[in-house]
Order: sequence, then C-alpha cells, then structure tokens
Amino acid sequence: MAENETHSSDTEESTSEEIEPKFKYQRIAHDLKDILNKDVVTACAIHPKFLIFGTFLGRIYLVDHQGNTVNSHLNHNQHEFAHTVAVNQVDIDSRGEYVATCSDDGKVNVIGLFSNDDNQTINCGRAIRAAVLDPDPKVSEGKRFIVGDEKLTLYEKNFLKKLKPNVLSNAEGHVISICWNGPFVAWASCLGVRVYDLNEKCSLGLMKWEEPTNARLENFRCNFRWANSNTLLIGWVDTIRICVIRKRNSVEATLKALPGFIVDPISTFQTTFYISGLASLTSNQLVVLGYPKEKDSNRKALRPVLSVLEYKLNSSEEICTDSLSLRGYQEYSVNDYILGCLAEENRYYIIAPKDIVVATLFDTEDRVQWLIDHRKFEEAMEILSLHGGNVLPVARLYINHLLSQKHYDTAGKLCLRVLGNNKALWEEEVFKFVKHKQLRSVSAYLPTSDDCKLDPHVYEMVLYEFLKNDVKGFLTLIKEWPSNLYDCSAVINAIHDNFHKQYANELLEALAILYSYKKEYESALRMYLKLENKDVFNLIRRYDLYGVIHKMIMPLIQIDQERAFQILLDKNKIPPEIVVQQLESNQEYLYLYLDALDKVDSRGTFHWKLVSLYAKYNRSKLLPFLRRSKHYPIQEALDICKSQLFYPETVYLLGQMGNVVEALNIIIHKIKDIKMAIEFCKEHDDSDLWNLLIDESVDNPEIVTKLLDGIIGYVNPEFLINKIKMGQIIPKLRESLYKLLMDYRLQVNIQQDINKIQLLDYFNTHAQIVRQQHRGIGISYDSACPKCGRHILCKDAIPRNAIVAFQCGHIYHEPCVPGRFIQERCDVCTVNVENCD
Amino acid sequence: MLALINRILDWFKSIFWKEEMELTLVGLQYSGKTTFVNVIASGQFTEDMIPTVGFNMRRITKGNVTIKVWDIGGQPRFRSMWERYCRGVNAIVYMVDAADLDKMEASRNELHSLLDKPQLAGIPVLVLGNKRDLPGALDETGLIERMNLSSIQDREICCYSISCKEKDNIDITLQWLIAHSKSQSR
Repeated sequence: MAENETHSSDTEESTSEEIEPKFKYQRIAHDLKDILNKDVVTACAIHPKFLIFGTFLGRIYLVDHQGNTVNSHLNHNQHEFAHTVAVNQVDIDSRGEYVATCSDDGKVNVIGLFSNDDNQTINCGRAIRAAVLDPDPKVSEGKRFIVGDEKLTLYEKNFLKKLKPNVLSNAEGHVISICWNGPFVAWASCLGVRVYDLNEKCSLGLMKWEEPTNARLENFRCNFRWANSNTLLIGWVDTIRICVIRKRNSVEATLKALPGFIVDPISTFQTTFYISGLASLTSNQLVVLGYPKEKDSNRKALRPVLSVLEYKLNSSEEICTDSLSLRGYQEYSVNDYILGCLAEENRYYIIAPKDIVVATLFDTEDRVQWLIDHRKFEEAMEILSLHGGNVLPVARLYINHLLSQKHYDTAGKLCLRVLGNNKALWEEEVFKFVKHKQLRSVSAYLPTSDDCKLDPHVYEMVLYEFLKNDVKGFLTLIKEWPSNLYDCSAVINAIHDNFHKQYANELLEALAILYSYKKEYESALRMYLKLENKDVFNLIRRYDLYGVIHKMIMPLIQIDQERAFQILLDKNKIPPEIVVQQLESNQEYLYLYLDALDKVDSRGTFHWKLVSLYAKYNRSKLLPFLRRSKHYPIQEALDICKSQLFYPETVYLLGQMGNVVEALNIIIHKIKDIKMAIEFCKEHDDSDLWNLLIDESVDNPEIVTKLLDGIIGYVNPEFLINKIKMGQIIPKLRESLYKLLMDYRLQVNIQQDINKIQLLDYFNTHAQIVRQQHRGIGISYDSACPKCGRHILCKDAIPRNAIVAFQCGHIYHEPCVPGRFIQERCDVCTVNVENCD
Repeated sequence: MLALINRILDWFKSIFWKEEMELTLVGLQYSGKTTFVNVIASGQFTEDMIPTVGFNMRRITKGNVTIKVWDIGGQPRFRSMWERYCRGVNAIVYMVDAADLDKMEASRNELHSLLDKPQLAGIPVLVLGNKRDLPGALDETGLIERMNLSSIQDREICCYSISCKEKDNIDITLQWLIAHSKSQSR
C-alpha cells in the first residue's frame, strides 16, 4: 500500500490539543502514477470495483482501487474510444457494465465493458460538458443515456436497436452538469438548477442560482449528488442547497397544470470556500471538497480542503476540515478537483489533476492507532473495549509509555487491570519494570493467587529490589505474599548478604517469618527473641513449638509476661517441672508462673514452693492459699509464717495443727484482735480456749465488754462476770451487761416457748394414740395365736375356746393366756417393751 | 434479412430465458484462474499466461446463462482487494494449485481470512483444486482436509478437483456455477 503522504493538518485554531481526525487518506499509486506523469485527470467515475477516468489527452483509463491498469475493452481498443481533446465527464452504470464519456470534441461514447456489442457513439458537433447513463440496473442492453449541450437530450434504442434522440428541454446557454437518479434528472444551466421528471416528461421547475461577484456562474461546475432516491445535494460556487423531491400534497395539487412532484429546498447555506464536490456522510452531515477563495502571497492557489459540515435549516456547522497537500495544488482551479464517493463504504475520492487520494472514515483500528500515536492510551483502550477489541497490545504500549514517563505506579495499576491471570504476559511486563529498576511499583499488583503464579524468580527479584531499597516494604511483602511464591532459602541468603544494622529489626523479623515458612521454627523463634517481637507467641501456638522453647522460657517472659504465661500454661504442652527448673533463677517469675499454674492445675505439685513465694511476693494470697491447699508441708509453712511474722497465717496453721492455745495467744498478744479471738474460740469451741481467753481478758478490761457481747451461747457469762475483780473499771460494762441480760432473757423466753410447743405436741400425739387404740380389732381366719401358733378361728367348727384380744392387736386362745384375769398386758408387747427399756 | 430474424429471435430468447450471474475468481497467483476463465469461455488452454495485474473482467455466455466473471490477481499486493470484488456476487470461486503443496497453507489462510469478512457472509464458495493432471496433486478429499473446508459451516461450500489443461471436471464445475445463478434472485 502506498504510504499516506497526504498531509492532513487540523484546523488552525486548535494549537494546543490535536483533534482526532475524521478521515484517513491514501494516495492511489501503481500504474495510475505513471499515467498521471504523462497525462492529467479531467473526469472520473467511481464504481465499487474499479475507477474510470478520462484525461486531458482524451483517453479513458480503467484502474482497480489500487491504481493498477485493468485489461478491458477500453485499453484494447483505446484509439476507438478516445476523444481528441479533454474528457469532460465519465459515468459508469451501477452494475459496472457501461461507461459513458463526453468531451469538447463533440463526441459521446457509451462503451460496454464486457462486450463491444452495445457500444454507441454519437457526434454532436458541439462541446459536450455532461453525459450520464441511466442508473437503472435492469436495463442492460440498449442503455439509455442523457447528453447535455445546448439542450438536454435523452438517447434510447428502439426495438430495432436504433438510437433515437429525445430532446427533454432546451437550456439557457450550455448544460453544465447532469445527475440522473431513478425518474429524476437534475441538471444545471447558467441560470440555475432544474429537475426533470422522466415519468411525467416535465420539468419540476427552475431553481435560480445567484451569480457570484466578479465571476460568471457558468464558469463554475455545478456539483450534484443524490444522497438517496429523493434527496439532491447541490454545491455550486459557494452555496450548498439540499433539496427533497416529494409529491405535491392535495392542497398544492389542486392547481392544475403543475407537475406531480415538487423540489423542496430544505436547507441552503454558504461555504467559506468554493465547492469542488460534495457527498453525504450521515443523514445530516456532508463531506465537501472545498477550494479556498483566498490565494497565497504569490497569488497561487491554497491547498484544497475536505470538510465535514453538519447542516441545519439554512445554516451549517463545520465539524472538521482537513487541508490536503495534493500534488501540484498551487496550479489548479476549483473545477479541476472532483469529489467521487462510494456512499455505502463512506469512501471519498479526491481527484486532482495529477493525484487521486482516497479518504476513508477513521475506523476503530485507525482511531486506536491515532490515539496511540498521540499517547492517548486510555481513550484507545476505551474505544477498543467498547468495540470488543483486544486492549492488550495497546495496554502494553501504554505500560511502556508510562514507564518511559516514570509513572511507575500507574503502570503497575494498569498491569493489574489488563493482564489478568496471564502468566506469560505478566512475566514479560514485569521484566520491563526490571529494566527500569522499578519492580517496587508493580509489586503490589503482582498476581499472587494460585491461579496465576509467576516464575519464582520474578518474586525474588521484586524482594531483592525491596531489600536493597526499601526494607520496610520488603518486610511488608514478606508478610503479605504467600510463601510458596518464592524460594525462601534464596531470600534468606539475600538477607544475610545484605544485612544492614540500621534495619536490623525489620530484617530479623523477615528472617523469622521466612524461617517459619521454611518450617525452621527454632531459627524463627531465635529471630523473634532477638527482636523481642510478640509474634513469637503466635508462632509457638500456630506451629506447636512448645517442644523447642524449653530453654527460651526466660526470654519469652521478658518479652511479654502475660502471653508467655499463657503459652506456658497451655495444657499438657510444657511440663511444669521444666518451667520451674528454668525459672528457678528468677523467683518472681517462678511465683507468677506457679500462681498462674495453680489456677489451672489442681494437682498442687508445687504448692510447697508457693508458700514461700506467696510469702515473698504476695502475702494477700497466702492465707486463702493456705486455707485452700492441702499439698504443702504445714510445719514448713508455719516456720515461714512465723519467721515472717504473718500472724493470721500462723494462727491458721496453728489451728490446723491443733495448737489452738498458741494460736489464741498469738491472736490476743500479737494481733490484738479480740473479735478475731472470739471468732477463733467460736470456731474451735473449746472450753479451755474460752477459759484462756477469759483469763486473758481479766487483765484487760476492754476485752471484757467485747467478750460479754460475743460469748452468749458458748460459755456461761456468769463465769466471766465472776472473774471480774472488784473495783476494776470496765468501760461500757453497763451496756454490755444490759445487752447480756437482754440476750439471756431472750434465750429464756425462747426456751419457755419451746416448752409450750412441745407440751402441746405431746398432748396432741397422746390423744391420737388413744383414739387409735379404741378402734375395733378384726380377726381373720389367718390370724394365729402368738402363743400356740394355731389358728384362732376354725372354719369347721364353732370355736370351743374363748379368745382373748389385746388393744395392741394380738389375740390369744384363752387357755394360752396364763392367769387370764391377771394378765394385763399382751405377752408379745411386754417382751418388746422390756427389750426397749 | 436472415440476420434480422436471428436478431429478433435472440432478443426474444434473451427476454424469456436469460439468466445472469456474477462470480469472483480468487486464489493465490499461478493457481490458474485466468486460464480457467479462458477454458470455460472459449475452451482454449494456454500454457504461458502472464500474471494478472489488478483484475480481468469477462462476460461468458453458456446457454442462456450469462456469467460475469471478476478474475482477480492472486499476487499478495492484490489480496487486500479480494473482499471488495467478492461483495455481492452470486458465488466465489477459489482456485487452488492442487499440485503445489508448499503453498497449500498460505492458500488455506487466505481463503479463511477472506471468508471471515462479514460483508461476504453467506456467499456460496466453490473451491477448485486445479492441475490434477500433475503428479502429486491432491484430490478432493486431500483438498478438503488440507484446506480445512469442513470448518466452514456458515455457507454452501463445494470442492472439485479439476484440470484446465486436460479439461477434467470443467463440465461439473460449470453445472455447479449455472445452478447457482438461479439460486440467487437479482
């Protein structure tokens, strides 16, 4: 393909930001180039499959869309079809079978491209500026055509294949242009534009055109284009008019002798340039080939422009304008340029005398390429994804660009966005970051899932870069990345090789993590211990490292007492013996450990140690402990308490050992808490103790009152009161005595009431017994005499013997009861009663 | 006078019987496209052909069928135009040099990329394996396999092994073509 040499510059006003162009241009070259070196294009027609153009020398050429000359009847019989002077118009029918040409030499040729059978030539003897073929594809043989000279003439063959002219209209001066579409023929004379209706054989009226200033209308070619079957675009001089041909409505049709159709101009507007050709782009946009009215400083022509105009009612808006550097543009006038078009493909042919350039709409690919060229990668990717294209190639260019612009982080983000889970692509892109030594930027976006795991080297490289430049980031990555991404040993080695003291903490932590990844937990633990990092506890728990920490118990406690103890106390993980052994050197830790252990371990193996430890570090726990535990040697504990002068503990221990007297002594003399002494006495309830206490109180009057208050119910207060010496001053004795007496009376009252209740009960119960004994006594046949054992009653005979029944329920034969009238009590019950006694 | 009657007869005939079709002939260079056109047009086989530049346009009349043929140059620089010439035709005839196994892959790729064009969807394709007279030439089965024709599912596709030189299977090729002139209504 020929290189696009056509310079398409944007409009002058946009200096800062280039606007995305609408068209791309391509020059047609190959054979065409050679032809144009010798000749000049004066007319051209475009068919979807080929181009036909006529030249200044009167020749007709058929080339393909690349500009290659095509073998056809035209070049086989070139002399036959050639004109002697410049060709004015070339027309092709829609099926590409016929070509019509006309020239100033007065000839009109209609040439069949596939056969010579239907070739026709007419000689009008006048310069012919326009000749067009019937566009109707159905009529293949005997092609109709219209020629314009001083009049508009339709030529068609009759059934004998004889060509017959049919004058449609006379023209004022010359026919300048003709354009045929269905039944309508648009044509222009020096007055204006007419549309002829071939069906009704009448003109639809004249549309007068304004004469330009300082020039004559007929010196401008009138440019027609049928945008569709009933829309005619006219561009003439510097005015564009868009007309719709429609049927007259009923109101308009009432006036007789008017044609059935009407040409309705829907928009008319001026252009800043002269018009060399126009075509439709969309329903309300036109492509116009313009020729600037101005000249350059040497009075030479400026570049022609290709402009896209959006038209409204009698106005237009310029969408974009490209200046075209066509070959030799300085020398040409407005009529030298032609605009051809393939409407279905939006291809526009700009035909200059020595140059043919194709303008095509920027398609997605072009737009993307342009955006890439202008470094608008985001937009390019947007367009691509909108059209379902593959954004990846663009994205990769974008990454390159971002890297070159040092937007490393954006590049990294982009990688994440576009590379997805494509391993190969990732690796390729990551190496670009390597070149820029910017792996750090992409690290956060690298895929780390199992679905897309890159080569371990990639991750190692990233880590290495971090290690060199950003140790904190290194540590973060080590924490974030799954360990299976890279080779831990390699990274550990790298750390050892690059160990900087100022980052010791980070590096040690990294090492610890790496070691644990490698399952070298002891090493990991050592690192954590060096660091005094609390993660060590998690590590121990997670990996069940209880076995390896035996020797590290002390340092662990130093890092975090609480968590260390939690670890140590984890059930059945570390034998307490070992811990105790390790902690022997630090009694406080030992105390804390054993204290905590005691809460979870009920065996009490180390209670003997705990006594002294509590005594030393936390006395408040000692007494409850002593009370609770049964696993300590009581004598030892007593010795400790005595030596430490822990009286309450000593008292308790003495009490336990049965040495209550000493205990009480301690209470009275050391603790001096008479209430406690009373409590103690109450607890043990020993009259010796009470005596001791009372004896002690004799010397101490204050105790007396307290004793008096407390001993009711335990000791006879009389005993105490008797002990009070005459003349002794006892504070608050009166109140105490009063209270004593009150208490005493209360007790007496209570006992009296109890007596009453008991008596009542007794009588009630007695009455009940009496009632019960008055009940009748049933004698069954089974009843036996307790004495002789025989049945009391005999079924067969009337009893011969009398019987004796007692209230207790026992029944005897009369003879069995000795001394029957003396007998007062039943024998059985008598025995029972005697036994009871 | 006789000529006039003949003309009138022709004219009548053309009114009642005329069928028209348009086909495009593509394929790599030196596969024998222009030769094929010559053979079906005039029955003449010419050994020494010059490579087609651009394209040739021919109209061939077989019985009452008029076939318009666009015979496109097969050299790489013309291939970008293939699609343009295949648009809107009744059939695409794809010529393969069945004896040139080295070019088979290139030929296959060009065919498939051509048929992928959305503009050409549904147009029937006739693949012709030319030069079956040469030793080592592939037959239909071989062609179908090497050209991966079975993967083309969205259109009618047919494959013949022919020889322009020996005029082998030219008749069935023509029959196929003529049959497809009717299938498409103009």
